[in-house]
Amino acid sequence: MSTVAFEFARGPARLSRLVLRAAAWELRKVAAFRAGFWLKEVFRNLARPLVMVCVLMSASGLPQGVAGDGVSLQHAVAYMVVVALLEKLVFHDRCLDLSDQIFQGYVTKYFTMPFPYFVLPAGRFVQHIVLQAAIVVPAWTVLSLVVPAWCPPPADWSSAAMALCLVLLGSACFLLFYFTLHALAFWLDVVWTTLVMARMIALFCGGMVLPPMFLPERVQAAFAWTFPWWTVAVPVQLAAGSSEARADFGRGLATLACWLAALSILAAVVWARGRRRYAGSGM
Amino acid sequence: MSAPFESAWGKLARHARIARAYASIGIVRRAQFRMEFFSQVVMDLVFYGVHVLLFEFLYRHVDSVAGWSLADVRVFLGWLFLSDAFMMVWMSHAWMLPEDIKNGNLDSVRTRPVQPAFLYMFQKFSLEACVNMLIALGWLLWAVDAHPRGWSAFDLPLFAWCVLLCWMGRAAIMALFATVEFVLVNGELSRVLNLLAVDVNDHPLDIYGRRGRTLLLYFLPLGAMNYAAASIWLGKCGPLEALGLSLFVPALLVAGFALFARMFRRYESAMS
Repeated sequence: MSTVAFEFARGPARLSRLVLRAAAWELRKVAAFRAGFWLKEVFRNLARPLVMVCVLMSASGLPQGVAGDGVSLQHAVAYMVVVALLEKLVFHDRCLDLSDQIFQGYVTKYFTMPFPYFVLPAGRFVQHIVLQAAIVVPAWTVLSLVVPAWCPPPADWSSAAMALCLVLLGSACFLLFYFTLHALAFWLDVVWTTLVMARMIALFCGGMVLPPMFLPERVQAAFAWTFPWWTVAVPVQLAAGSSEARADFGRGLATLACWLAALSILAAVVWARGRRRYAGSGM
Repeated sequence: MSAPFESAWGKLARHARIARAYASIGIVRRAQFRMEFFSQVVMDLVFYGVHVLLFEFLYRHVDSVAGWSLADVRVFLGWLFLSDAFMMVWMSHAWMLPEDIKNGNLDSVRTRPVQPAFLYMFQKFSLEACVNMLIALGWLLWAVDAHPRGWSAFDLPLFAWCVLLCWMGRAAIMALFATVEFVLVNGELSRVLNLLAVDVNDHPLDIYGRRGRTLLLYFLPLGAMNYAAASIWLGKCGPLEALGLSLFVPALLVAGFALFARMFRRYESAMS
């Protein structure tokens, strides 16, 4: 990561070109797996929110109109449908294979190349966002035309822009978070358990498992300190035109910026220390 | 070397001996005190915790979900955890199948006179998952005891049968999903299907409506993993359907393993 800073000093334009080049190659790679491409890229992260929609539709006791505690069937379902769309933009831990490369000793070759290793994860991040945006935008447009009650379009352009800004910043936090966890492979024999655990907690904290309106106030307040909350839960409400979420935009931006800075430092430290420990022949 | 006309009992005994050997290897592997032991236990606790919290929070606002009360869902989750723990104890190596096919690592499985699905998928016994199995069983017993249905000593055979169904269903589904890898190499489809199955199956199948339930229980038989056991135990299905499921799930296991063995013939060493 310190090499990244050095490379940036040499020329951000060169580094950006490298990242874009890596993104283009990553795109070619994911598109090559045809059946896997459809299942992994197009249907990625769709099942869980849609299952939750089925749960909500089959629940009895949910008010049709908005109840005193803010809960309503239509709000909850519309929330989960938009979660299914926006969550696709969130970087996924399975987009990285750093831990496998450390276990097998494959990262050695990157240490001898004239660019920092982080260019590759950054390339994957760009590829992920571009590909998923190309799926999300038309899907959201079509759904909001066909079933506007269950999949409302963004309230206005500024809400959409604010929501997108939070999602992208949050997604970058997820990239650094998962990168750090993968890099723990320099020390641990097994990393996938940590990744799965972290993913489950992040999904729950981000309101991607259950709509926030079902969570007690205290739990919501606690989750608001975490980056997943501002990555999906708040952007979905922002896109729906919630004035409360709009008022919280500044706080969300500040929270995500702090997380981004802290995770960047953490990732850099873990990577640098891990490299020192790395013996070159796998762990 | 196996006898040419070995009895079914003899085959079963041989497979049991192999399972015992796998278990001792798994225990030796985890004999050292390592952080990974705890990380897997904690991971499954997080999995349990997220599911429990999801329903506990949801039921503060709803009366029932597709006819399932909170007490019903707690029992359902017990069966889900038990099924998941079985997979973690015995079948976690199935996750490696896409790589092993790509890299040609299955030659040793091909040359052994044992059922290949069993030999391959059961090879990585996990001691840490046994801790989770105990926790899952503890949750299930608590939920069953707290349920208005209650239970008595006469229910013990039914309980034991439901546990067996749950485990057989999980093994059957994993074997069926694994067969896809032999047809579409490089897709990692078995992994994706397993992840999808967890998402689709961690709620009672009744949420998908009558047709959806039928589809997911009998045609894409994800319900065999834990829904069948839960609905038999809670009496959510009639006696005739319970009997049918009791025959269907073991048949599915036999079919799944037989299909794996058949598809395994397509495997070529090192992708030649």
